[in-house]
Amino acid sequence: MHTSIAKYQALFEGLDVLSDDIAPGEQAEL
Amino acid sequence: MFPSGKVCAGLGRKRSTFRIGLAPAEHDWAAPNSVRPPLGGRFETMKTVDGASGDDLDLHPRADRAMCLPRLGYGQQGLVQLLVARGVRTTVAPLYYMGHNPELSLVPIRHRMGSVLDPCTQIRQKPWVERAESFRALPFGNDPEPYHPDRSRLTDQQLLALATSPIDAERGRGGTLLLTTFHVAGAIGTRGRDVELLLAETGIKHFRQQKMAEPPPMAAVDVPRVIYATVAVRMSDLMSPTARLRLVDAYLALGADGVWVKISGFHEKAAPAGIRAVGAFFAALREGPVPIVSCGAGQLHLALLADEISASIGVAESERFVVPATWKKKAKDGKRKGRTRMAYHPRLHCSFRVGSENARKAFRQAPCDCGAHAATKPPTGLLVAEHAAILRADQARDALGGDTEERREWVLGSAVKASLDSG
Repeated sequence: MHTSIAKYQALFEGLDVLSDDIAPGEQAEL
Repeated sequence: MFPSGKVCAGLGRKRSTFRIGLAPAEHDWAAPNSVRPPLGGRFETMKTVDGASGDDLDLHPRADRAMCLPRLGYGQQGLVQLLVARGVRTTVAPLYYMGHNPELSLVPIRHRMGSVLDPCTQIRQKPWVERAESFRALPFGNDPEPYHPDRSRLTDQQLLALATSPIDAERGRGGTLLLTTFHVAGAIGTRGRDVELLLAETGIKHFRQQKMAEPPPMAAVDVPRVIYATVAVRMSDLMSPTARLRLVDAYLALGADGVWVKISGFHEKAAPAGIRAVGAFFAALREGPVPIVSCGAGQLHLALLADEISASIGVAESERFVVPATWKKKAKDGKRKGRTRMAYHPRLHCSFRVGSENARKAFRQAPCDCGAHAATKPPTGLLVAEHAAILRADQARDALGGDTEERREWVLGSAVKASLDSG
């Protein structure tokens, strides 16, 4: 996969995160 | 339009409607972008000196309309007409260039243009000897010691001067979208970030008290001014969801007309986890009522534009925002190297250093159709900037066309094509 595809996808995933949610792959903070 | 449905998964997710506790009361936070009164509502009612229409003065980003803001480098004023013809309404240039290249802030007679004169106050964090002479000539650029956000002492008078003098200088040079003072500092709760917020708050108050929003009657630059709070932060300080949201709350609560975001380490070479975290930061920021502008995100600016977030990127140079660091770029003879100029290749979604073998290979393999230079050779000399301006403006226009899903498809689809073109 071309690098830029993965990076664009990662950015779009982050932009889809709800504000009270966590980004994919992040650990919940207690 | 998009070659594979696989990478489209998740595109339809709706944006959240959360509210931030510190929001200014007069904004309707729950309203979606499409129904929010645009920030530029003021523009429609403002009287102009020669009967200009509201459109003539609607030059800055709005919460419901993203824009690409090219950042001009030294001697690039000649690109303005070319950019205007491609729909660019506002350009960016470093404020400290104005001393030796004031032409950068000139605007075409037949088109009103917005102008951002970036105070680049993060350069204060560099040792005195490494700051450009023109930066040291500014009232805030000549401190003998490098500014350290967590340690440097500031009296009330010094803080006031540091918060207000960049804004006064931006206005004096013809800036229409003014930026508050900023340095790269840590998370909320650190001393450095507390000072940053105080600088921004003081600068915004100064802008309001001085009534800078409205240009004086008969002014040469009669575009209504706005003030943006500038936040500069390392990507590593945005990895925690709590830290991100606290930063978002604090900056939106300042009540600026927009937020100008510079994230060190955030560009196409960053790790996906970091890019995702920054994406979540922007997602939270845009829940506010004001426009958000990303500055110096490198190639990722294209995806931000596609997602309705305004972006500023340098034309053939300064594509990424970097933390001020000791100048290490020296040639073998010990002298400083010159500016690094980049030749952007739109079909490959990559920039190549001008003069490098990689650039020669890339353009030979995938000819460029910008028309400014020979298609199978990378641009050289003055054509480097012209090539970049044409391609960046055209590609931004493509990224901004259609609805969000179409835009994302376009970005991912052209990236897929880039991977095929690059073999």
